[in-house]
Amino acid sequence: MAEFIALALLLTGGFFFLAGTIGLLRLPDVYCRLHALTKADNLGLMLICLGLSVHGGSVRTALFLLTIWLLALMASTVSAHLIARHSRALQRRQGE
Amino acid sequence: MIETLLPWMVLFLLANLAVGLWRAWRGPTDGDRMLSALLFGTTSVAILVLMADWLGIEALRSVALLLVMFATIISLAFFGIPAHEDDDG
Amino acid sequence: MSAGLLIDLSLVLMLVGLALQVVRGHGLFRGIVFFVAFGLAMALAWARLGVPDLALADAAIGAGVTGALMLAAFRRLVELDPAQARPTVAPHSPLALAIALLAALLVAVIGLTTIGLEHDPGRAGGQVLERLPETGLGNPVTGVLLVFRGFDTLLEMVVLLAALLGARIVTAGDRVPVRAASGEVLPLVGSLRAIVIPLTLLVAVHLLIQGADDAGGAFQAGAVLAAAGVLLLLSGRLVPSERATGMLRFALVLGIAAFMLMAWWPIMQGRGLLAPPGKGTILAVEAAMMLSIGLTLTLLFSGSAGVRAEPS
Repeated sequence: MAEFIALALLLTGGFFFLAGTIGLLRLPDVYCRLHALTKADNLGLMLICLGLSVHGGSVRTALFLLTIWLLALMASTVSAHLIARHSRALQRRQGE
Repeated sequence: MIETLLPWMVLFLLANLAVGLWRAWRGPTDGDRMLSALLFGTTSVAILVLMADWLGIEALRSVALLLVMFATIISLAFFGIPAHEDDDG
Repeated sequence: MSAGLLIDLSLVLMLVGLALQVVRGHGLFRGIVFFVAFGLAMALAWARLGVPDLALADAAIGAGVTGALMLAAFRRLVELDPAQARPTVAPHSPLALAIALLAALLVAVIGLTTIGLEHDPGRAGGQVLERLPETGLGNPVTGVLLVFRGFDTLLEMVVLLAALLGARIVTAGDRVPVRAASGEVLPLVGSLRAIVIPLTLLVAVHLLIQGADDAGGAFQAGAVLAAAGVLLLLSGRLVPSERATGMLRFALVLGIAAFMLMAWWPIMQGRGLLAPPGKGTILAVEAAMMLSIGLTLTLLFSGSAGVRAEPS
């Protein structure tokens, strides 16, 4: 039963990563692509970490993976903010 | 059964990486290229975490932790770059 | 076709493709992004090969510090000469192609020869694994670095210091040190820093202690400290300063001094030079090395004589 759950979680995680990549390629603007990347990829990472925790079974591994995911959330948030802000500043400067 | 799935997921994520690199090539703005670097970072973390389970090397999770701790360094360095003309891709 | 083989092939293709893209030009910034990607792909390759020590070092330095260093250099370059930011096309050069092919041939020959060699237990690798328990360590990499080939490591530390001194000589006349990301106060970065920096210290010490028996060691821990230093510099908490304090200089040479002490002490006791020390001594020397390596790399990034804390 646990195998099934882990399988489902891993596959869904992979699907979200695919969604993020498609968004990166197909969406029209830097800002839209930022949305796709940070949201979808982080969700995918969470599902993969959950799946691996269920599969692994040890609490230590699960906590480690949780820490990794939380840090990834923070890193993505700050990076997205910085990239968006800089792109906006660049855009404004070119508009002059 | 999951054991056989893991390497295929790694392969799938590697394919995502390769495809995402196209955005780094194309642009059109430098922000898009930074996005590609961000994609590389997050996907690498996922790949490392999966490999830790697949290859049985626990230390790879520490590598993933390191990657994720310093993922913002590049974005911070990027932020300081002054405006310049963007190329045409 | 097994998934493992396909993964290896994909990694190889990706590494070669990325390297080609870095070199071909079409814009400096693009090259830098590809270089960062290359560093990350390299870390993935090390992970696939089952070498977490190298993957650790590559992730901290190759993907983080070097990328930030190049971006900082790019920023200064663009400030001095905005034309550099425009895309350029590298001219086609048949000589470059010939040299590249020769280099690839060389690597192929060496690689194939190494794979074809038989496992000779008399060789150094086998002997290291045999005599490892004598040193009290569990990690053969640390054993080679600190005990069996300790002399090489000592020289490496000196090379690192020499590199810093060389960089200082070149940048001594400069008036443009690395500035913080911008003059503005960045709202989110402070909170990130508050969480990442303490965690970094924990991870660095953990890697140092774990390195005796598992993956890790002085170089990896030092690289982690360096990345933290770069983060502090970029976010403005550490600021490059024109003068190096005495404490700073002491910390820079501490690694070499500790190592030399460890090398000379057995002579006074009557054993030979660099005789195998105990595990506690190794850890202490590694701790000193970690500090020196981290500080040296941070100063190499800032390009200044020293750093000081800026109250936020």
